[in-house]
Amino acid sequence: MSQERKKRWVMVVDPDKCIDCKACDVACKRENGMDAGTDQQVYRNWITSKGVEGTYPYLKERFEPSQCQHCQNPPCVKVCPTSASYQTEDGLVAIDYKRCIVCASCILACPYDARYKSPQTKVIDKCTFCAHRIAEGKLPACVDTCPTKVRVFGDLNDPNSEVARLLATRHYRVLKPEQGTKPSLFYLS
Amino acid sequence: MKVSRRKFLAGSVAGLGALGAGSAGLRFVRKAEAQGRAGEVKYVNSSCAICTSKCVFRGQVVNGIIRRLEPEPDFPKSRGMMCARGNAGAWTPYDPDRVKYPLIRTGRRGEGKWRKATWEEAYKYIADKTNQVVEEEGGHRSCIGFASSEGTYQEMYWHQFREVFGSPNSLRHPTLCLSSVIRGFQSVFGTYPVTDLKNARYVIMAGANRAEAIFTPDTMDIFSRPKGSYKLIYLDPRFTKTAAKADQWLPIKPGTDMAFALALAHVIIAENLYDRDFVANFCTGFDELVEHVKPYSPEWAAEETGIAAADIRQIARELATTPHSVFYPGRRSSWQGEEVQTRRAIAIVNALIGAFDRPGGLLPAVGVPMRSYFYEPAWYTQTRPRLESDDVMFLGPRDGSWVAWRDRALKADPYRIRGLFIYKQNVLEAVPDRDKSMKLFDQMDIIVCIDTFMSDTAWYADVVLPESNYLERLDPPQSLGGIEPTAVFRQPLIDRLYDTKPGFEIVSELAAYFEDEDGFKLSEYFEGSPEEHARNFVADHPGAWEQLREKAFITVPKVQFGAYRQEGRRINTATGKVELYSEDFAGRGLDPLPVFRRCEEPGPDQFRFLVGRHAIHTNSMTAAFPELNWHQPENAVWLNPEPAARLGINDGDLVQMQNRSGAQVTVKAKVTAGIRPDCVYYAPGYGAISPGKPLVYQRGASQAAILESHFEPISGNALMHETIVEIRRV
Repeated sequence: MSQERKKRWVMVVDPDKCIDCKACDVACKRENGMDAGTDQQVYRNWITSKGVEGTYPYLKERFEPSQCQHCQNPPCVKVCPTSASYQTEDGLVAIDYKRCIVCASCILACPYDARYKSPQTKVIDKCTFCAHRIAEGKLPACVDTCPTKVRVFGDLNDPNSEVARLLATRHYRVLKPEQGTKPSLFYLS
Repeated sequence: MKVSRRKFLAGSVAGLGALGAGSAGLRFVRKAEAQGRAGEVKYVNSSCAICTSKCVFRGQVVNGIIRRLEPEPDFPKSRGMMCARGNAGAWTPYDPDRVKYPLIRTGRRGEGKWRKATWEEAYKYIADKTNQVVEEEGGHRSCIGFASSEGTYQEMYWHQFREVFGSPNSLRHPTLCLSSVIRGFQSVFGTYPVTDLKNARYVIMAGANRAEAIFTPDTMDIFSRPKGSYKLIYLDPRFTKTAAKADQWLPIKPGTDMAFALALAHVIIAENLYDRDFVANFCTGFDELVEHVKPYSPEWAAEETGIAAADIRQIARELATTPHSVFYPGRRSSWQGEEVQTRRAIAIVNALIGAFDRPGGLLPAVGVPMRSYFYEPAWYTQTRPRLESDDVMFLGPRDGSWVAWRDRALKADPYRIRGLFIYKQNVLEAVPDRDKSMKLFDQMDIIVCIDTFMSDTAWYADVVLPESNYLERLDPPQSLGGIEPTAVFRQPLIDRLYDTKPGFEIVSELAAYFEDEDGFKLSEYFEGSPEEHARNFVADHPGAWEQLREKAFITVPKVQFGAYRQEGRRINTATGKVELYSEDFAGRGLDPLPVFRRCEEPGPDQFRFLVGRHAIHTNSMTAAFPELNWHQPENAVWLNPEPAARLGINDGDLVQMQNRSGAQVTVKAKVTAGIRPDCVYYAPGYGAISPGKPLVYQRGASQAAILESHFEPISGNALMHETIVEIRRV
């Protein structure tokens, strides 16, 4: 049996295609059994906008979907006192919920504001790239549900993957590169 | 905008809502979760009911509880997408506020006092009251009005019930939405066409806010394409999310779309840019059009629309010279009094550029051929024409004209309406001028409401009959026309919860309590079951039933472009040609070519009220879905900074709005450059007057409360943009 090649899960985001319809957020909450109730702090992914910019009638508005960046150099993992936050071989940043003591260090350490306290489990939670779905060969729920296919998910170590092709042929950027976190989310520009 | 959760932890944000409502239902979901994912997982394909697109999904059911509705990748219309509303629909069977058993009112109407009833009691109560009214009216059954809405594939049973009951008064959704667009395009192309946005290279959308008024496949076809592969020109008084995605946003003055379209025609003809072959071979009335559009220059249109003449001229040239260009027909609710003629003008522009029956153009909506639902009609000796039959030129017998009908009913002209039977329509929020609807309700001897939720309308009814949710029902297939014709089907993911019944059972059982003139029970007109009807619908397609059970849709081969351009092929108009000039309209005393007439303008410190859509909501239906409400717990009125400063209104202030008929609403202000200074807007679905949907009860403002009642006399469409309001800070 040949040794299985290590995967590197990444997401390529094309913000130009985002229509801010919130399908990703609702699909994520449903897929991951999240009940936010009326708590505005509870979400795993989000779409940011600076609002309408410019002076009437010369206006523009841009939408930028985001979530946990699954950094290669994750500050949340470094600060976690119980090793509840950890990195998997595939490049995912995961949480061992049993180890979490809800000290919130990771919430403060994350430059992307990706973590929240779950009202259901009472521990810290965040996007998992739908690891349970990836394991079944499915796409993350937000990727799957998106009407305009803003997000492309795949294995960057596979040169034939759509993500590898996009990153080879398009200009892209990452969020907050100055933080040195090496995110796994790439934004086409 | 998002609140920093780090800030929240530091204690500087108090964001935790005290409202616990809406959480109870997720207990069901959590119960399934608790039993573990290792439990029994099954997938059932079915189709969505949260808007008219009817996308097919794969419902994931864990231990008998719906966990998630995943998009079905093979369904050609939605191709693996599920919008926020569709995703949130998984919640609906478990909503603690759904109607769980039949209810009979015990207090005053609207007081909210009910008693739980058995179905038999409820049927008998309805029949006793209704039969008494019919008797008092001398046997005339037209005194009962029937309302219903789209999205349920069981609506045909409702029409069957109305017809065998013997009332002509049927009111549906189209005259609150798109009947004017249908009429306008039909008069030119003989069809209300679909648009091939996938292949379109240059698209004009006027008001059709496809980034928010999500409609599959159109929304996907255009916005999922790479930037630069098409150009989108968007006209709207409001900077919507479609405007944010467009190459050019033009804040057109409301009510002047026709002026814009006529000026496009003017330039295209004057500069000889029209499709000569198409016009010569397939159109009639070109010479009349040439003369007609001469005065409608871009300079003239600039005065009317507020769009620079140079822009209009450039758009006309680009539209006519870019291959695969199209002026999207749109579907926005009516702007103003010349609504059908406005749509005719847009259709005429499309004809001039040959955007018919070619890739990137318009195409007749072809459906999947199916057997139709057949039943024996009842026969009554005493019949009367429907109430508003003299008010509307092209009155659809099933659609009716809601606003015109209500005006007649309020005056009992020419006869009285004494009962309302309502199937899945929230009349009090869907129909403009809620005060008038309430007055109509006050006049009724009996109001029956069939719904899954306690809408405002259900709350003001006398009897509420709970229909089973769309995830608990089997609904016969329904054909969806388009370039990829499909028929979609609904089947239960779970057993029915509570004491609810599907529409067919309700109407066929209720029918047993009524008799026709010959003394036959009306239930004798109903046969079979939805499943038997469904099988029969597709009996001509081998294997279709099995595919419906497995996939919840069937397809027929894609439409090939060019079929209508072949020799001898007629289109569906009287002349068999695309009618730029309409003899039919001329014969009825209507303008045979669209003539621009100015609509009434708001005075100083007055505003035109706009309606519009939001991607997370379907009209008034979804605002109280917890996962959707989370994104927008209440609505706010959009106001341009210039008038806001003049009126001393700041962002977040509470303002009072009043329309010309004296109706008032109080709502928060959102001061934004994203709207014309002479217009205001707020989202639909909020400001409920009853606690049946607690998340929107008295939160925000209702559109129906502020919209004045006006209708368009050619198609009967409600005029959603003829409302003029004044605003002051509270």
